[in-house]
Amino acid sequence: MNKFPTIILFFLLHLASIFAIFPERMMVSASKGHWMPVAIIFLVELLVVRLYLKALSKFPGKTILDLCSDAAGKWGARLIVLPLLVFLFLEVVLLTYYLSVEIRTVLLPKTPTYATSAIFVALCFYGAWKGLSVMIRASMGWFILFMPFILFSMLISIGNFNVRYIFPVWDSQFSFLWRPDFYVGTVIFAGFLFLGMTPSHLRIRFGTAAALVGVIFLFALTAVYVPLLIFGQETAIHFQYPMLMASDTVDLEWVVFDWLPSFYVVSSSGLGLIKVAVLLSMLMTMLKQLYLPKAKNRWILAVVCLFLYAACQWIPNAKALDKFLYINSCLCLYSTIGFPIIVYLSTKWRRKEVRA
Amino acid sequence: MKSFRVKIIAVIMGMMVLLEGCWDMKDINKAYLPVVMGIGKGSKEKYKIILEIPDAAGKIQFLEKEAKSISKAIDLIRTDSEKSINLVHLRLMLFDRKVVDDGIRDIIDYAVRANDISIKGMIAIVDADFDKTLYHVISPTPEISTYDFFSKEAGWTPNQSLVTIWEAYRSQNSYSEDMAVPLLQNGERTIYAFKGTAVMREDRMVGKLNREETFLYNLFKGNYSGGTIEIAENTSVLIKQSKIKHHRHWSDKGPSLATDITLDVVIAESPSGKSNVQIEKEVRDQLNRNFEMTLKKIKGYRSDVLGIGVMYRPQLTEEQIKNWKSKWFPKLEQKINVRVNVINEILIKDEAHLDQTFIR
Repeated sequence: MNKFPTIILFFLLHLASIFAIFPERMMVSASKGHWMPVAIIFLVELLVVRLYLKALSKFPGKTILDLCSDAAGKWGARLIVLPLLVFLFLEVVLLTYYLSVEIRTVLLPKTPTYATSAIFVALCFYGAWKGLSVMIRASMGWFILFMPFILFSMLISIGNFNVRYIFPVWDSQFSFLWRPDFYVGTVIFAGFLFLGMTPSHLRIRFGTAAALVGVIFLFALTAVYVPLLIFGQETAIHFQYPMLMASDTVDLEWVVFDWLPSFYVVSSSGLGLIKVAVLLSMLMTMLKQLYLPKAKNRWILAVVCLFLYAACQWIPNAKALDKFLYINSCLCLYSTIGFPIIVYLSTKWRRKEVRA
Repeated sequence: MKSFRVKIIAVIMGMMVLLEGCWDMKDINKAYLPVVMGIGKGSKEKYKIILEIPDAAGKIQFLEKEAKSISKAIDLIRTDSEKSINLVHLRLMLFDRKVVDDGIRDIIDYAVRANDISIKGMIAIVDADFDKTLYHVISPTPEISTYDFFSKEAGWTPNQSLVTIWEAYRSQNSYSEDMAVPLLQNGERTIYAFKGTAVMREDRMVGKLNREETFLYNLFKGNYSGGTIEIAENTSVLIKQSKIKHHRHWSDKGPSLATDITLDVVIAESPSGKSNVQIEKEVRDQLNRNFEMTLKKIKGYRSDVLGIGVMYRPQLTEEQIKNWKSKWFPKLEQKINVRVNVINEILIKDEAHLDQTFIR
């Protein structure tokens, strides 16, 4: 079967991070040479994706969950996957909260967050309920619907660029490695985890994935550099939503374009929606397969969504969001770097066992 | 029966999604949409806010209140007004000169922070009687808006400086540039008259450029379209294109910048018998002289309105950029060299080469 939809979903899930959280954190993490943290993140991703896909390609019919339980037994697998579960849940909560606040700030200032996030969660619930394969197919529609918005809101402000704000371009001390915000940026990795859960006929090869990571890298660079080139580093770090502010600087007389940030919010929340739905369906599958084999899928999902909604209401302010993002970045490092390595090692170890 | 129920549920869900946008919605007929906000010094309180609201009939309504903060003043205006007030269409913020003397940082911060004010709005300083300028109304024609005065698609010329809220915000946070804000007063038959440009250092006004100097400022920044240079009586040229090249040097003494500006001009008016070469020379000499004076003046203000720090960014370390305004900019040696080229895109030939056979 055609693997094109998987490629598109991989691309969209990464773009979702690029349109939320990622550029802002990259800007704060480095005071100069912003391409360096971005490049390092993507190099690491390339490496991890390689291990992950290599492990999966050896056992075509199996998902990562099967691999884990084969290698470490039922309880071992539960232990290995637990942090991943927590990470996925936190990631989903934070993204939902971030997006509902963004929608509230820009589009619907009078609508309370509980209403916007209720609909957001309901839509994600529907998506996740339909399952991963459907999401993969739906991503084609998403791509056609949102790509024009995405490109438009990224590139509309090109007229206000001042290229000299790129400088200085080299950070010889790699000072960003010591800033927690750099590690928050690793949330972008969550976009490849779904590859391990797809039916094997939809899996992509490493070559394709590498090319995709390259394309996404360009998008990420654009997202980081658009606000930088317009406002300069000193100013851009003050903004909660730098990309959004960048699109607000454009002055077009035509009435349709009077409020350009709405284009950004539409694409950002559309991408967020698909990411949350995919992560939820992963969460559901993991819970079902490893922890609650007797429960029905839709009930697991409903309970998770209820928790998600409640957690979104519970986060009091942006400061708390920040705190959770820092906590989540530790889990993220485990789930996106540690976990694939564990999977890879376990497959290697198992192969030796089989040979002996 | 079951499919009917599903349809009903789907319709209800759809309504819920769509109607969410109407939460606490106020009808557009029930809202004032101000386009100009005047921020002056109050007689009792810190700020006096005047909102200018155009209506469909072409008249302008004014609302005014005083308070210690801008948003409180707007809140007070809202209290007394019959309709709600929505700032999404605010396009121009006018500051009283007296307010500017206290610094405009907080006001700009407010404008950027407020999520109903678009940061592409303009700012300007009123350098005359504040109330008189704000309340000045010309016989209304519905299609004139105050914003057109600054719009590059409408009434703007290179004689006027121009700064948007986001540019002001960038400048006041930037290590390497300062802003120039237009100075206005009420016009006789127009809404505003342009008085010059306020040179700011950080968020304080430190000096003033007149209209000619503002033109040079715009020329240096590359905003020249439609600019006219007058040399002598009956002689003026129109700038068609300008190329600007900066030669940057950095020595132990500090930065030095030599700028070559090449202007392609057409002769708009000239007395008969004056050759193109002569006009070229006159334009060049005059611009060079004026540039030199203007640069000296700007340097005296110690304000980097020309944004030269940004030009040096490629060569500087982060530390040097941070010290640009305090340490390096005062040491800057700057020179501008103008070259003029008359291109003939007009209907009359260069007369100097013709034989003078006619009665003169």
